[in-house]
Amino acid sequence: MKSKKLFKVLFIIFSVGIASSISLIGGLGIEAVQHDLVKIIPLLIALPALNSLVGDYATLIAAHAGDPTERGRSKWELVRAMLPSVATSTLLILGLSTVLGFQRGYHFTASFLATYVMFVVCAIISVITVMFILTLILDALLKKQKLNPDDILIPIVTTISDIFMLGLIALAVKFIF
Amino acid sequence: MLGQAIALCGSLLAGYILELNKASLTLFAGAFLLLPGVVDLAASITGAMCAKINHRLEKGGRTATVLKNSVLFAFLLSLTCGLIVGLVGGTIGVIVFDVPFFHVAALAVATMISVGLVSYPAMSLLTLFIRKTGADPDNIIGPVETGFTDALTAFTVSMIVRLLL
Repeated sequence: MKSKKLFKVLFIIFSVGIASSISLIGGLGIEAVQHDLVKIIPLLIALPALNSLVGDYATLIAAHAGDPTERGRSKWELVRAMLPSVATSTLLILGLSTVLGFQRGYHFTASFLATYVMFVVCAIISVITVMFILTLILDALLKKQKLNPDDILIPIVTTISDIFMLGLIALAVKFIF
Repeated sequence: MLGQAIALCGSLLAGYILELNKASLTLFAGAFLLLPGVVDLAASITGAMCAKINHRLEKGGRTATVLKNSVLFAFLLSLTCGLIVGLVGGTIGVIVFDVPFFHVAALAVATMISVGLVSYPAMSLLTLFIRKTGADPDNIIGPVETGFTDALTAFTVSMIVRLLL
């Protein structure tokens, strides 16, 4: 019984540790473009917010998936409930990062602003859509394995959302901005 | 919606902290490599801890026992997983960017310990408070804890980098 519990704890440590280590793939991209990234002040300021925004929604979707009372609800209800919040959050990130960037002396141009807005909107929509589909698949798999989704699902989906978002940011710094 | 706005302000504060400390962060090879790993780890352990506290209390667990066990387990995860991220980050850093292995590993472990000391007790108490108000912590705690841990982790990494430089 004790060895079974120890195995479970070791499994959780291993999966959370490895899941977060996989986030370093996103870090590889950011480290590689760091000297260009620090020059794009609004994007540097928005980077943790973009990362945590997609992580938040991944956590929210995963926490609902892990709660037995929520499993019966329609997934469309969750999507409909999230839409206004996603739109407001995107506007908040764009607005505040622009204001803070301006305050830090970044020289804004009309073409930069248009590119920046387009990039942020497209990146958020694409990452959240992928996360939603992935959570549904993983939750179904974990239920079959009789593992607590709270311990495994949240770290996995937040890690994958990190990689997606940081990868998109690194690619944007290299090829778009 | 308000929780999400507060969380985003926390994350934008984290970005602002990075911007203010960008000179030392770019001088410390491996800081940007490690940053997503420790930020993600701190947020995911805190998120998992809060969700577990909420679901165990829903099942009728004793509050003090649930809190103590969940926070201690989060600390255990923080230490061991911080070490794993540090070792993996150090190895990747040495291979790809030729950075000092122990600097990266020490940065990961020191950050996870410092963040855990503040974040886990604070967020577990916040989960209890949200339950007391009658709201569902699953809907609120995720955004709030990520905003809080993002700002705290960015600040901690920046301070430790300054110490190590």
